[in-house]
Amino acid sequence: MEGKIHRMIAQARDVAYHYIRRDEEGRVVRDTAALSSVSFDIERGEFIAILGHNGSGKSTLAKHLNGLLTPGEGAVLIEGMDTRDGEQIWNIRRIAGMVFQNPDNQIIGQIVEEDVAFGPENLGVPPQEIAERVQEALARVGMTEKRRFSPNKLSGGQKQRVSIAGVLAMRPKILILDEPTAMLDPEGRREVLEAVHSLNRRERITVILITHDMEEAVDADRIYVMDGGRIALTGTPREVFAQAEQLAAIGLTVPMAVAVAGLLRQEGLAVEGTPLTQEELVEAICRAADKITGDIK
Amino acid sequence: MILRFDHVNYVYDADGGQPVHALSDIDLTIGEGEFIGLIGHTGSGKSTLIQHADGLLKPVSGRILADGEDIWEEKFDRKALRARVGLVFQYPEHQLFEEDILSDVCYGPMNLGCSAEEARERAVSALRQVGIGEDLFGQSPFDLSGGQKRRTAIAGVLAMQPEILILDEPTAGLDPRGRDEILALARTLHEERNITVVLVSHSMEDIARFAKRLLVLGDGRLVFDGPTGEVFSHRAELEEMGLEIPRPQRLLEALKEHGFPEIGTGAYTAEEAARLILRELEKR
Repeated sequence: MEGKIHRMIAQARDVAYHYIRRDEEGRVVRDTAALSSVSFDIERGEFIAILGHNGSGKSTLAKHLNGLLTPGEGAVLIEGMDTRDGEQIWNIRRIAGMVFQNPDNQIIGQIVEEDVAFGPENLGVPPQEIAERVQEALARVGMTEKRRFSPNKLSGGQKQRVSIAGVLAMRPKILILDEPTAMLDPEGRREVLEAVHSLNRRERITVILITHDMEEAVDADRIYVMDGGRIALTGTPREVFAQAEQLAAIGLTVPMAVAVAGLLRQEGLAVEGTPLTQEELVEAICRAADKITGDIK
Repeated sequence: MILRFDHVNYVYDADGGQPVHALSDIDLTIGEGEFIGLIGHTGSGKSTLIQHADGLLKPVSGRILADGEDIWEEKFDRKALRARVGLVFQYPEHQLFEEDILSDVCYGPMNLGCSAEEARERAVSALRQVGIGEDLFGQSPFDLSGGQKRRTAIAGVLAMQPEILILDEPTAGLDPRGRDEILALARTLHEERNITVVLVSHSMEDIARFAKRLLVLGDGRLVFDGPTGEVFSHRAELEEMGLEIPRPQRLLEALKEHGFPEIGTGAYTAEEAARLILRELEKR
């Protein structure tokens, strides 16, 4: 295996995971299947969005990707390394870095630079290289100017970008983000998503974005929709969001453009395809309108 | 209750080295039975403002008046005020602590001095209002889904029978269904119980759908205070402040620029947007 380049950076094979609760005597009082026969192949450089309602298994799945949880059945492979292999776990966590919802729970340093240095320090990286990595990581999320600030002087979006820099300083190949924008204002949300997309496009970092915001999933290469611990739907955003009824049945919605297009079609307007963004929808409506005008002539 | 902010100023760290002016000359009145939205970028002063509403923070200058009475007068009963103004913090479910749901919701009224019997009655009624069925009353709060936990936490505030309910980001982290449940609950409490609701949110779409009046804070100042549709017509100013206008409205404005100069833009849901588009096309 040594030196072999895996095209698939993350793989799951029939993964099952149960949350088991026991009483004081060790008897099982509850056994909840959080993941059932989950399989996927994620290619290097892909941008994946994972959607699903609360309790659908999204976060449990994410925690499997950097070995915070290991499968009860089946296997998860990160660059070919099995997450159940104790000897590889630190390599896996270095390759697959995780960013959570609340930046305030993730930032520990008194100064932005110190916070970002924390990860590489823990990895035992030499001081000179730490300084380089910190500088580089902050530049990659556009936070160089704030490097000497106290984190509590930053906005939510800036804090979250510092959290991402902290992960980048470990030089990961996969960035897993668990609802990173849920607590942010509109500008903070935009800043974080732009930073993540730019890392994906320019550096081909594989991104796995867990979100409740359908609009955030529109720019992904592929979407996995989780329901009841299983992958219920998968495909490109256009393929997935074309299935509005199936999504509604599992408590999810579609982006605004898709919803409006669907309503217009119900009323007999010939809006073609599945427009995912405002721009696409405006174009589709203009075409449909031209057709009406053309028909009248 | 009519709650009035009379030229309120608040400064964090007033005695320390780096004072931060968190609220500057806030002057506004929250009338009975209103449904008010409150938006602003992170750090704009929203949380500071709402903590003044129930006397958790004291203005550096200016007054907070509850039905005309200064809440910082010596004889004023601020403990009673905190029941009358129900504040639901962000992620309120993190504060659930009792072993079962019913006991958790009883905690507030017991603390107010209600008898065990009355506390129980209030808790049952509050849980009913938020749609938590009796079959769940004996369960541990930790066994509930995310949306259920949050509704239980809101029930804890409702059991205090507030006249004003302030919800700080009540839908953060919830999936679409959980979000709709919470917002529908706010609407029901407002419409059927005539509770005044103040909804703090980063979701312009949620605000637009529910709030009739909109307050916009920017760097501690009240920049806008008016009917929601009117405030959202100030697109450039809002974007300058790091805010947005609701997506359906953005779509209609884009259409206006792309060959539909007459189209209406006052839409806050996909349904309303579709209706305005169809109306415009019928003219052709």
